[in-house]
Amino acid sequence: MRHQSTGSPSPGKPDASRAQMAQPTGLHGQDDCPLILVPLDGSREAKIALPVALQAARILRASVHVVYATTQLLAPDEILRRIGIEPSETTGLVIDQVIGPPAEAIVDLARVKPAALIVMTTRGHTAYQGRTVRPVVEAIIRSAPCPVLLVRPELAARVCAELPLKRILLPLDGAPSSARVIGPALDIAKLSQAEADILYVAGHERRPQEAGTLTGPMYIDQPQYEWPTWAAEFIDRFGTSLGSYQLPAPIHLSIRTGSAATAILQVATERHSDLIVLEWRGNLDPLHAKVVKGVLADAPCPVLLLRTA
Amino acid sequence: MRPVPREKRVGRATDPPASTEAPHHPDVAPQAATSQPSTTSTGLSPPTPREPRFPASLQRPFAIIAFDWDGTAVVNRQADASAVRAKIDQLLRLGVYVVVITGTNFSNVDRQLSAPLVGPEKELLFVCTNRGSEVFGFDQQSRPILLWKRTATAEENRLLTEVAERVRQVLKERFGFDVRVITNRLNRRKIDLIPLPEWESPPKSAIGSLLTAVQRRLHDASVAGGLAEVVEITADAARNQGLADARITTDVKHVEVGLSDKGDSIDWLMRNIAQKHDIPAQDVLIAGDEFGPIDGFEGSDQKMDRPSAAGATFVSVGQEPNGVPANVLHLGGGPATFASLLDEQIDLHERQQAWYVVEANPTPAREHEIESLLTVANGYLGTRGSVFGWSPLGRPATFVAGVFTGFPDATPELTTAPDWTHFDLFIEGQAVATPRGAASEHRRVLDMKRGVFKLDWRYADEAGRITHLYVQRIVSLADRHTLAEFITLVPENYSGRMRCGLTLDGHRSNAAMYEGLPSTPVVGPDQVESGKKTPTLLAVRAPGSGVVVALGARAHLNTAVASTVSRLVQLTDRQVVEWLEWEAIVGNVYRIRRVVIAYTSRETAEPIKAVLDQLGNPDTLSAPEIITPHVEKWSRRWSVADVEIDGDLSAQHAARFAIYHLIAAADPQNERASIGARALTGQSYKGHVFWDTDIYMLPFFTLTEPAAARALMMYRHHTLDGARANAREQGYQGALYAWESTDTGLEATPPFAIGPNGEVVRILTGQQEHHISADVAYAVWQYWTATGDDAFFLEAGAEILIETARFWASRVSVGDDGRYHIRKVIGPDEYHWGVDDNAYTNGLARWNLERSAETLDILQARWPDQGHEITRGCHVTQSDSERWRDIARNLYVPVDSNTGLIEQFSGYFGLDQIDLKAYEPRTAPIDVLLGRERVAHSQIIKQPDVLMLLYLLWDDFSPRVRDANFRYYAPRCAQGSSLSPAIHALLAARLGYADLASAYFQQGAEIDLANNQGNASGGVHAGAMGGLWQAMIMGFAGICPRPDILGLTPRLPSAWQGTRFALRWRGRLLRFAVRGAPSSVEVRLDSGSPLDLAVGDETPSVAHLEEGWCYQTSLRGEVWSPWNRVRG
Repeated sequence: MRHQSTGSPSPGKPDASRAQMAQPTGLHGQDDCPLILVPLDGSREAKIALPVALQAARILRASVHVVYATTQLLAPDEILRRIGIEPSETTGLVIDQVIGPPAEAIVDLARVKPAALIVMTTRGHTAYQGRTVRPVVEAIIRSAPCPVLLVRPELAARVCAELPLKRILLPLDGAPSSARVIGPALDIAKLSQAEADILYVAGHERRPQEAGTLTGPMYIDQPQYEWPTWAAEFIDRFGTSLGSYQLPAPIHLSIRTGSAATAILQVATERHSDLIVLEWRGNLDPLHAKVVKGVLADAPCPVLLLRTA
Repeated sequence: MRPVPREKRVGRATDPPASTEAPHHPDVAPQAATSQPSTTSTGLSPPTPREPRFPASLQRPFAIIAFDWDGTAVVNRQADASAVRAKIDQLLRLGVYVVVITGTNFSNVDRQLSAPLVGPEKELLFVCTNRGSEVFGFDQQSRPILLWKRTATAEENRLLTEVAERVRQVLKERFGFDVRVITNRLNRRKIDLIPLPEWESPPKSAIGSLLTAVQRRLHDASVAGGLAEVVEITADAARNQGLADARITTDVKHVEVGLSDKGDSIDWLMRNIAQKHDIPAQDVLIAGDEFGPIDGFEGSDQKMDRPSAAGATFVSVGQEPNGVPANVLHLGGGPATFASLLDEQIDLHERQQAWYVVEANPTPAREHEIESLLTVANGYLGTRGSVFGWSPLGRPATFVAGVFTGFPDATPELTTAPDWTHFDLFIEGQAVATPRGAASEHRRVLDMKRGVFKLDWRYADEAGRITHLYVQRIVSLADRHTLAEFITLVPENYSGRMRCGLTLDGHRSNAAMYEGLPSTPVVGPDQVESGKKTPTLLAVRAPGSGVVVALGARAHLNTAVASTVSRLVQLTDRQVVEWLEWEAIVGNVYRIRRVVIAYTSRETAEPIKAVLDQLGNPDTLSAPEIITPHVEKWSRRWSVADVEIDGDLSAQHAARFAIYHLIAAADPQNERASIGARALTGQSYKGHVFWDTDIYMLPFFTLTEPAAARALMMYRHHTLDGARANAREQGYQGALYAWESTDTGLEATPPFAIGPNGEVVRILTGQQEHHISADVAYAVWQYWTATGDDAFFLEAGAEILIETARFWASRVSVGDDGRYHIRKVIGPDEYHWGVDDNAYTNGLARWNLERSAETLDILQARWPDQGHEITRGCHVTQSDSERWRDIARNLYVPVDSNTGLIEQFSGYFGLDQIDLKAYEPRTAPIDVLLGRERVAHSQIIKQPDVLMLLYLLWDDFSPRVRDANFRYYAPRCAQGSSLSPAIHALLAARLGYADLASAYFQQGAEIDLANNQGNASGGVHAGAMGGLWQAMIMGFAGICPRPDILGLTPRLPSAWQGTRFALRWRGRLLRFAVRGAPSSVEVRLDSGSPLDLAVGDETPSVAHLEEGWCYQTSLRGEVWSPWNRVRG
């Protein structure tokens, strides 16, 4: 088993509080064999996460644990029956059960294992009016100690364990904290030999007040110089400077205007992105995470949430 | 050299991102114009200037303030010290080292002073306690740490007690005099001469009555010699007991014998604070209250006058009944005077801070822009403010003016010379690397007053070894080929092998390797003998131009402390490294002086020889030989160029920053290079020269350093052939200057650009932005009229004026209306291209034609022979002057007689109106948000166009036209150029919109300091700096150079209490002092022949200035009073 190449400064067992740290929780720094959790609730929709998890496991050289939350101990065959998986489909899978309220129990398990990644669909069998993600998913991503990979059930036809990961879309808002996701994202790009597309969306909002923020050029005095300079500085500042990663060349940088979520979805469609990596700060309250919610609502591919706050 | 200031409030390069919102425009009514406060808070409040109340020798900011505690800073140890603590806290925040020197123990002072202080600045506070026996500092968490302690041996302790006991015995036996011996003090014993309850703890203020009481007591016991005799007995006892170097002092109540005194504290601070930070003794202030003799015995504070502190300033705030030694300044007044002294130091330091750009809170993401801001340069060569090369984040670069790299079919770009700032450091074989966070202290400072880049760095390696590194870098303004770094290395807590690799690095250069010296690697280490070794050298050749750039270096380590130094030189394909290695001893200060000499084949046929020759003369390479003339040169430049501002520290800082970079950009000796858009501070714009230089920067040079302005204009003359070729290329006559110019003057604008999403954008400026030719002509005329430099006019100026007029005469076409038109151009507003009759272009072309016609007349009248030669060379005759005047008369520049508005170009008024305010705030340029096409079909403009015309040809337009156009165009401007805000500030000021002017000024000031345009990483905006200077001088001070008279009409921003500046005008030097409300002007003709000066627009008040006299006037209502002449 290959050891994961790592950009993390301190390989070894991450502690449970890592999700709270400013540095986003990466998919590495684990034991030799990272572990991916796939919570299933028996619905057809939830099961769509499974091939995505297997695809991730292939790239990350990880093992996949299917998790079922229940109120009492069940025999393995009973779990399989409840989540709707044939024994013949379980090759390479570990079946886990947790007892207790699903979200809490799953987060606990992720912390104890510890898990490198949780893979879920945004919605299960119940349709929740007006919600992008179902409450259990919402509760898990609020407190998950590791990154969460979310798949819309509508993508059932697209996702497949064997699919290569060719293009990763990485939207940045120009603030150094958001750019911290670059490291883990580029790790994935390296492991899967995918191309990275960086997207910067300019609009008419206030620029982040964080020191070191680089938003779009405020003016293009002489476009022949401003654009190349700005693009080089943007990639250098956030790619090299903050990530200290060797960039897999070439990185494609796009700049769009308008609503960030709309632009991300547009570019993801145009560029045939296989994965969108989003920074997120753990707050899904109505006034927060507008971009995350907007992207999760219509993403044409799985979305990886890397927490930075 | 100054210490590294620790200021975090002023002059920082670390402001949060600024608002990019445009100031409110006077689009409703001028009265309604309000300034939009910027969201960037610099945390400043205008200082309240204090009347100086101390002698001149105290009127300067001291870098180290050391003082006695009890009696000097506080009345006694029970006093409330909160007021003095607040002042000390403020000084620490201002980067001043504060050293408390006391006889008492640490906990006493800590309780009273230091315990409540918290913050990183507390690292600058030191408490020297127990009469020179201990030094306490504070760690990053503000906790006390013991830095040094003198520990008595058991033998010494025994001797101290024996001495004290012996004194007691002698006094008892000889005089029956009772004393009490106090033994529980560190390294000393106290003999209490008055152990009476009423004199248990007398306050310092009672020293007079204490002395009387002690004297009476001694007298009653028949100790005839009084206190002095007791001291003598103590000294005898110490000698007899064999206590070497006993320190005997008295505070009247006690005679003390000890192993150390306050002098040891002074020695410690001079060695450990001053020396490490290159702070000269002149910058140290030492305060006490007991310097003078008491009863024949020297005061305890006099111990602080140590040879190590020779040159420091000593003050006493004590009563000093018997006077003070000659070198001590007696102020008296006790702690209250001391508090005022600190207040004044705070004031002086706050002003001082405007001389620094400080990277206080390093943010890795900002590395590239910080490097730009902290560039040191001298117009010939510039080196970015990178750290010494261990950081992977940096983009170090050194540029030499006018050296371009040109590959076939590629846009020429400024050559990056080999990097000379990189060095590697190994401690005990381990590389000192800079992973983030490893440096416990990291601070970069640009000292703008002296042109010095400083890096202060402390690094703890994994073994816990702490190395302090202090680097000062200069690019000499006195000898432009000399660059130097002064590296101080201190192993703070270890001894070990230090190895330092000083590099000339060709990897950072975009030119080809040419030669490296020594050409074969030196194989074995040898002893360093300064000045005798072969210097290292690296030369590169710029492709295309073939220019050779050679850098040679010589390093010298102070061998006094490092006795055995081995030296090894390594040459690789593109790098020469000189390794110095020595055994470093804990606490020693190692200084490496590295001098680098640079020459190119542009100024000498043999640049390598020139480098080696200069390096071969060690006499010229000493630190004083390099630093002193450099600092003096900066000082001379500042003495004319500085703009002092009272009441607005943030504006003061921005002014200094702009002026610093302008001074650093120009080289009066080099006529073959001009100043690129980013000067020598970054790669952006490839070093190309735009109209920025002629229109935005030139006035600063013309009016403060005419020789530099002349060189810039001569560059335009030397590139005249290129300009002629550009005109021919486009089918015109005369000279069409390149919109983007390099070393040849040929058009260097790339025809295409790749947009943000990979789309190809056509760049038409090189084809259409023809106003550049009139801009150059305008600059030539301005320079000539401001200097009266007729030699320039005949050698170069007239030819430029004639050739540009020839261009315009061929460029115009006659329309159906019978008038002349200039079609298909781009004006300063580059959002609209291919337009007809751009007002700015037509207006300046008309002016160009008129002045050129005048030139022909002047030549014929004043210099007929030379004039004939010039005109013949340009293929013009006197008849051309008539033709040019005819074209000028009929060139279309429409002013609507009803509205007073000038249409920016044909059809502009018919374009879509878009309210820019609806798009605020925004994080992208307006042409990206709305799209280029939509902007092109709208009235949104990028930068002043009509308004620029109004400014440059101010007297050609009526007040009504100026105001109407400002109110029309200012709100339509998206500030899409760094050149834009300053000119708006200037016009707003002249038109009386003071608050609006301030808001624009701040926007302009933040372009680089807050990177509010987001592109400072590629270099500072030299044109914007020139614009800012013009906003201050031509706008706020309202200077208006006219052919017949120099005028001014001040309209200072409300925050400015006043401003002082100097101008050179036709061979004279004038010094101005302008005050705000109530407005007044004082002007002094420093040198030169008499001159008339007019203040006020409507009914000017004219002064006839004579050399050496001062003239004053003030505004009374709307009218300036008659000038009052005073001696001064």
